[in-house]
Amino acid sequence: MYNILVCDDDKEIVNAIEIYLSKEGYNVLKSYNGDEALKVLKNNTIHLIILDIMMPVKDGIETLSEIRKTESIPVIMLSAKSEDEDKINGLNLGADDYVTKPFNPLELIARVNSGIRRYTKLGTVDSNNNKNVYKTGDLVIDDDLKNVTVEGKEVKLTPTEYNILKFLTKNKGSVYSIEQIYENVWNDEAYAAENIIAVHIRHIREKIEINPKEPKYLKVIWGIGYKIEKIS
Amino acid sequence: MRKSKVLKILSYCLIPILVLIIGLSIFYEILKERYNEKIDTSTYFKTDTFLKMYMSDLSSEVQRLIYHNDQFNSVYDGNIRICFAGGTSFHILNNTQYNLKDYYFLIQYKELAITNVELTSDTDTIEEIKNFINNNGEKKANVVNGIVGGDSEIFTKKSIQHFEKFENTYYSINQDNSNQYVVKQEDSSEILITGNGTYDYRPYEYKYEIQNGEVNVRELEGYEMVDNALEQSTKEWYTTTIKDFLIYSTYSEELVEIEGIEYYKMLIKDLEPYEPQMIYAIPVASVLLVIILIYLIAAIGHSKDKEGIDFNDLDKIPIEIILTVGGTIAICVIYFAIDSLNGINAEYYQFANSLLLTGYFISYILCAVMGVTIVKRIKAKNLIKDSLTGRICRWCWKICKNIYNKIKNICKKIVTRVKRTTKEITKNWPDIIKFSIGLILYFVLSVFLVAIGSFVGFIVALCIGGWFLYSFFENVNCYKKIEKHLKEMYEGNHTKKLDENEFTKEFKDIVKYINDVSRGFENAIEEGIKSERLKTELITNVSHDIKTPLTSIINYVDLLKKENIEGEKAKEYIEVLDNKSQRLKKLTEDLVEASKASSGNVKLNIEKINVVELIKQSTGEFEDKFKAKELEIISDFAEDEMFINADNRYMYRIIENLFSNISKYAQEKSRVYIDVKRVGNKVKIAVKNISKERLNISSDELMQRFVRGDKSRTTEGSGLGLSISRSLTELQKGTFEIQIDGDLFKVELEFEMI
Repeated sequence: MYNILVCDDDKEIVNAIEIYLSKEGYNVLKSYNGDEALKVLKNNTIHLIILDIMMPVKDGIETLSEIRKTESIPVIMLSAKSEDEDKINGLNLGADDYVTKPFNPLELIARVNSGIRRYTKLGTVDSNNNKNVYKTGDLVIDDDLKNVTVEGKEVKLTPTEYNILKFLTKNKGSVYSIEQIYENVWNDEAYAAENIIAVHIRHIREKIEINPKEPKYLKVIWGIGYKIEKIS
Repeated sequence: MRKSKVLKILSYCLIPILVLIIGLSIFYEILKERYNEKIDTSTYFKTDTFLKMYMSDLSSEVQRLIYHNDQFNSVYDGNIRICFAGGTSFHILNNTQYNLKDYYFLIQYKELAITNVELTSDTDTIEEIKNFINNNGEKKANVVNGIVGGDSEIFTKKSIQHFEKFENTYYSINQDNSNQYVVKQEDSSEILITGNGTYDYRPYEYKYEIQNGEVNVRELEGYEMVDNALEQSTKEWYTTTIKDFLIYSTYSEELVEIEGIEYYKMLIKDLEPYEPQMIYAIPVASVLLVIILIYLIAAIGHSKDKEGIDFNDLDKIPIEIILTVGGTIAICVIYFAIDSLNGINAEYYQFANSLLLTGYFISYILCAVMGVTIVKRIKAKNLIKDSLTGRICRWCWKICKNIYNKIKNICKKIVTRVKRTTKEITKNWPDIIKFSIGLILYFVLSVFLVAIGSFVGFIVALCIGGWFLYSFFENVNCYKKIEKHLKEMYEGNHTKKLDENEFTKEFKDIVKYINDVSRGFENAIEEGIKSERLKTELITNVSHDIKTPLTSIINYVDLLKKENIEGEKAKEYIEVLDNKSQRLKKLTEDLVEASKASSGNVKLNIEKINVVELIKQSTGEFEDKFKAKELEIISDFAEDEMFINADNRYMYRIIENLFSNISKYAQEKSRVYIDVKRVGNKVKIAVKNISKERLNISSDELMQRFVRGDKSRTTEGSGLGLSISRSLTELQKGTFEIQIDGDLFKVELEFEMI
């Protein structure tokens, strides 16, 4: 049983999140401002925090920096502020994820699950120190077994999708254009590559990402190409 | 009546018959008169008429001898030149059917002679001819040096009377030197002849006088003697009388029918039985002809099949061509037919008749065709209009009119220009006067100063002139500065201000006004930016405030959906709530984005991106949505790599909006064209698709916020997509253009290529 602290000044939202998370088997602790949250955190063992930004008494940003002074538990920011600066600011201060309101409940649950998995299973993946394993963050490709796992969960890919993902992961951090991907994966000249690659990439994204429109691993650099984010 | 074909054909057939009846009747009368004249030979040769004609015939031969002797074939008998006048015969009555039998003559004048006796080896001397004449013909008529002798009593008695005035005067005006001469009529300055060299005149009625190289001509009365006014050196003239001639002639008192008139005689004989009817035939046929012609004129051009005048190809040929061609052929045919009648023998009578009739009918058909087309044209009122003459006249008229208009325009222009200039001058009158007075004063002063010769005066004049020039150039300079400043303002730079102190007095006001206008602009722009920024801020804040309650709505609607609620209606209501709350979410997001994009409140991360790659990636993203609508994507890239400077996320946002619109609003199973081209140094992205709904909206309207093609606002979407796309394009220094052509919806993006 994992304890999750939800902190938002809007009680209905907190309640709604509680309903969703309880169904997933999490124990939810509630607080309605930053101070309360810090108190709850002191008195309980918390595995993950969902934190709103705009709150009375003590806002989310302040609370986050307080938490990060002592704790390394995963924090998901939940805010109506959807500007890039807000997200960057939140992530820079130590948040692990950023979800904007109004949020998709399923996405939130997925992110919570991901956070918990990373927090609790950290280090166990490293034991599998095989040569034919490529990984970035929690995306792991085992080329011997020909399987792909994201945060420990196996993902079913077609052979073509697998090859594309393997190629990009092997060269994580570098951007490859459609043509280059085609030439490297098919070992052939790109004649009518057109959008075949683009379609495959979207399918891969739909399978490995929580929100394919805001991908964490397989990123699209529009007008340039695709890359696998290098996450340690 | 008018349109009856039978009647018309009947009329066309009747006309030539009627004309023939009338023509033959008249022809018959004429022929009868001419060829049925009976001559009583027993008394005819005793009449004075015969004698007079005989003498005048000889007299005319005399004149032929003198004036035309060089035109005859001639032989020489010693000095005498004998001319052969051809087989001349003597017509008893002018142009009738009889000749005089055995008519021969020989006329001698000095060394010239003329005869109608054929010149053979037996008859080529004067004596031989005389013998020949004496042996032929029963009567002789001799005139030797004015003495008449003949076998006929009346001849000897009376013939001399007919030679009483036998005088011929012959002049030759020689002007051997090259002096010009002029032949003039006396008492009038009319010039008859001018020229050089030798000319012959046969003055029956004129008298020629040559004085100082000028020849005057005076009209003479009758055969008046010409006086000896001409100088010997410049003229040769002589007068002959009957005494100078030797005339030998014979004839028989018998008539010989002229060959070639048998035809007419036979025709008269054939027509004779019908003579009594002819008296009636002419008036009856004439009346009938007139009636038929009137009917035809009324009926021509009208037919059963067509209303109005029936025109065929012939009627389109210019009338002159038809008249020329048709007329020529008709005249030739008639001329040939009639001409061939002369000298026709009796045995060819029938043949000649049929030939004549054929010619007649051919001519009739031609005339009828011409007549019909002329009548048609007159009826259609285009006889002159369609004719060559008419066309040429019209063409000339048009040209004249054009020229007239052009001249008028030019005149008008000149007048307005003159008016404008005058206005300009009167408007600036005071300045011009001031300037002129100043200039005159300056000149007077400088002339005066220089005139008194003092060096100081010269310097002063120079200084004043220099000052004039200086102030002139200073003003020009001010004007240039203002122009430069206005150009900057025009290009959008309002921050710079003009310094009043730099300008001359005349320009101070202008500078002040310009600065005020510029300041006004600046303030307006600042205000605009400020208010736009405030608006964006407001929208952002409001959207935050909306998002929090919206989150609860969305979440609880979602939870409600998961509850097992009884009743179909309740489920339906929840579904509506779900849809609308999702839309509200999208609307809020788009609103913020649109507001930011339009106010330029966006941070751009510009990098070099490949448009072709972008389109390929975007197409891949939308593959499933396009497939669901069975849209066929046809993309055409000019090159594999076309780079522009842009923010990749916003570029995708633009394309995403366009593609999303296509997936929503394009006609299912249609084609979508995506072209990436290079136009000059620009990359042009054109996206074309066929709209599902009718686009009863202009492209400008479509680009405004919250406007959607379907107007009913039932489908998803905020109506902000195109507005956002355009703002984002313009922020990245591109152009965004929508074209609507019927159901064709076309978006064109242009970016600077690198």
